[in-house]
Amino acid sequence: MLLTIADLFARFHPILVHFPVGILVLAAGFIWLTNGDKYAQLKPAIQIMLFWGMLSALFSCSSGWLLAASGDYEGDLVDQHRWMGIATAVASGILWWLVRRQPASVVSDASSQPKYWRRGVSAAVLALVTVTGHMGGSLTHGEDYLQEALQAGAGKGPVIAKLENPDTAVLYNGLVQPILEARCYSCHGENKQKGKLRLDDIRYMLKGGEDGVALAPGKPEESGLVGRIQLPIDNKDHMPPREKTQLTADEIKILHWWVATGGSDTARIGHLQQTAEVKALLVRLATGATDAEAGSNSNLPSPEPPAADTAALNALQRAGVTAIPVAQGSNWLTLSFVGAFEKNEVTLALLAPVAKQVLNLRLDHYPLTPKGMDILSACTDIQRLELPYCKLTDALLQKLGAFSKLQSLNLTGNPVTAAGVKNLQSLKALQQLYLYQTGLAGADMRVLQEQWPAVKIDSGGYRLPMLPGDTSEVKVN
Amino acid sequence: MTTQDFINQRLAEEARLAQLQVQSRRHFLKESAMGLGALAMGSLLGGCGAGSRRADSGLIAFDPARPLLPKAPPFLGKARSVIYLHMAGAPSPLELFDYKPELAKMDGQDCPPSLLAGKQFAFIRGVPKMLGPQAKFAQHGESRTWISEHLPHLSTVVDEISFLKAVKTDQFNHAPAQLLVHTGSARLGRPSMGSWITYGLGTENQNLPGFVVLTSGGNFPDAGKSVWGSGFLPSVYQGVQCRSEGDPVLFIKDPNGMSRDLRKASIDAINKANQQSYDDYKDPEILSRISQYEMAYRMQIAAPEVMDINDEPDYIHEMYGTKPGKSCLANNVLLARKLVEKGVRYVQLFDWGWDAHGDHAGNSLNIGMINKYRSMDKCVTALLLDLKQRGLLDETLVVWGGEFGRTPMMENRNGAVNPFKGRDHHTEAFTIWMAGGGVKKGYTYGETDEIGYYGVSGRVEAFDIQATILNQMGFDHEAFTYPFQGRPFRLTDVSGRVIREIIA
Repeated sequence: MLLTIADLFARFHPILVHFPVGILVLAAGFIWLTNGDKYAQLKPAIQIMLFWGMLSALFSCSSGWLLAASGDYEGDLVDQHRWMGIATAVASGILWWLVRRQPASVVSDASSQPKYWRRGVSAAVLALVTVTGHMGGSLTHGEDYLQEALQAGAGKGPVIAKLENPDTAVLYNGLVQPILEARCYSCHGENKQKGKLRLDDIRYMLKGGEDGVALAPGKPEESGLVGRIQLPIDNKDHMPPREKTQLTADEIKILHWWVATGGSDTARIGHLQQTAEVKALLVRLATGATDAEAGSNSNLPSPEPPAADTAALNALQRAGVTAIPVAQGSNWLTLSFVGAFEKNEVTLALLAPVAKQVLNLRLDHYPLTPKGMDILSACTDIQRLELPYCKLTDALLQKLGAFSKLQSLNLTGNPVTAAGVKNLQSLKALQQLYLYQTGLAGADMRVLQEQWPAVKIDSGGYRLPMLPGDTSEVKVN
Repeated sequence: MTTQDFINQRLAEEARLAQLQVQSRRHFLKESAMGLGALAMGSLLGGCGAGSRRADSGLIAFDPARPLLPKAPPFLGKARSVIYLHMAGAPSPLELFDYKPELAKMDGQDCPPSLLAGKQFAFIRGVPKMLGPQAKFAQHGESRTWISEHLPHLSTVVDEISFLKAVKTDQFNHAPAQLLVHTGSARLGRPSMGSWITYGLGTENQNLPGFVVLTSGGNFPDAGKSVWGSGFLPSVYQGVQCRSEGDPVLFIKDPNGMSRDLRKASIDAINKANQQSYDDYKDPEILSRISQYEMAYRMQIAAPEVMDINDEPDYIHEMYGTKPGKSCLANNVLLARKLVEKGVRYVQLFDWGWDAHGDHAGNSLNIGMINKYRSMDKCVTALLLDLKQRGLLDETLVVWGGEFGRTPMMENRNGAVNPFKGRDHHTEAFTIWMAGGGVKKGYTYGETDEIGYYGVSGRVEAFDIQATILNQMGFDHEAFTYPFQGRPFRLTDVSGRVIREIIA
């Protein structure tokens, strides 16, 4: 599309408006300042400033008019902004005429009547400039731009709220619209239509903008809406623009799913076909959890346990044990006895008061006894347990059978055998098992892995071949 | 009055006088003016920025008296520790990871002017010749990753690794490029990544430093110790450089004639004196000093044991290819595993000597570099396998890389023909890889053009790598800040993007 001179002029509107704002505010300020004698020397400047303020206001109005006509802006706010802008230009013209009629004199001219007129009109100009400027700002940055700054974390955090009744809720109203509203409406909405595109109603999405349709029901690959948000961030067609808040992976998934299932604004979530990925996402939303990416803690098990006793945590710390929340604000704990000053039952017993909060636990070269194992078995919610070189035997291993949520177990360097490890098959949640340097032979490992396909067993004992190059050096011929 | 009383009295008097010397009129005026002003500012600014979730999550509760206490990460991190293997001097990706058959066809031809226009090189002048890959490549693993014949061991573990093949930088000299990679700024004065992470997380083992640096290859990295410096963070967070030969830390043994108890008594006395001056001046650096003395004392017991790789069994030594009693990369890599096992947060390795210019045999692609590849290949492979079998790889992020790439052209130092085959510094594209710590296995992100000159897709820079490492450790790199000189500072400055593509 060829840009005409008028279009070019129109695009200068956001720059030009700063001149009347600055000049008129200053001129009005001067009028009030020169009320007394103290700043009387400023008087001659007022008329000149008002002239240029008026002129720049006229330019702003005309460029603004052209910009509004370009089609990227529509709605009540645009009209209000337009007429307020014109009112500002007119008022500044009147003020200039009033001032001009009575030439400035550095000497105070007592209490002549027009002075009150001047002050009245200057107050009106000030008010008009403020209101018009605010409206313009709302058009550029979105209507809630100022409120956002005052609200805690607004515009940054996750958009999707907890879904109250996930099956009967309408997908569009419940999940899709809030995302579009937070991330798209400010440029593609009622007041502003960048690229001639509106996203605040399905009708407009189907109609599309300059670059084609935003919504092709059932065809996410043809829908500009879904395509743009999935482009790499450094692509110039990526939306939202790089400097704006980006959609999270979950939000993208929802929009994609919505378009793929027909892009309807009435369909209920329960009636739509759900892929495994979407199902998992909906479960997370139903529990009030948000994005599962790093940068959030949503894949922590819920409900959270009550906060651990501070005195117990301090006691652990004094014994050289690391006992910290898995993430800030969480009550779940990661414990590491690696740096424990005394590696004995007494130190281990310090764990008892916080056992309910333990999610990850690492003991290293820490001789375990039956009593020690009893202390450990109180950690019923533990997910990751690392016990390398802890002198665990088959008999002691039996006590681990109760960890129904254990996902990863590290038994490196313990004299356990196939008979003992076999009993661990009661650990239903187990995904990863480390058995390096245990009493299990290679054949035992293979049998175990076959019986237990859901668990990744790492038997270790990796070797690297000795190659000729490993011990020789290339020399200059 | 006993002699002891007399000495004490003298000491007290001396301390009083010393203190009076620093109390000047200026001191009084400054204290009162600043004190009142600060009070007023505090109440004025109290409301600013409060309530923002992102701002809050970046704040680290920092106790100057115990700066290394373990702290929770802002978010659930995938990795517990980092081992960063830096090949100082910048290895050539064209001989290791970035397979460019087209470049082989251009070998010996004059470099097309389009590649030279407007470019500045460290040593290339005029029109250099193109230089084909000095290696044969083959595909390995289930991921079918192309790897050079120079890495026979590493090619067996490519399915554990995420390659970033289009890393770029804007620094073509070693020191600034290394600083950029590790501190986020090409100029001196910023804290290194390890300092940021130990500041944010503390150390898991109170007997050991949280951030350990090991160097090999006969030289320090070109940027000097600033690459592991603490910048404006309290100095307690700077990397502790340990030696892989002799005592791990100089003077870690008790001097002759000094018993352990006496040592403890003298450290207690020094700390008491330091505590007094802290009470007087409230300089947090004094508290750092106290805690450093305390840690040094505990390290005397713990460090010699952890730092001694001799207690590892023979087959482990064989796997890493260590050279007992010498200083080499293999020893350091094995030591890195031991440190991570004992709860050290960040182990930074520098191996010097990868600057493949070809102006002498030692840095030529066909002689010196082959020896460097051999010294690195086996031990780094062993590290990945050893971490894996100990269940440590999924919580330890291993990063391997240099500070920039090498030109697809042969270096012609000052316009003359170099005696050996070599490549000049190149900023547009190089390879960095990560393994473990929650990154994808057997994955490649980013691609260079057909001669490995420019990145054509998936380009990333040092800030993105820093953002990714911080992310894996549980930090939002945009919120993780430290206030200095009146504004909050970030490791990634005003840039950086978490490379989500390689996160598992």
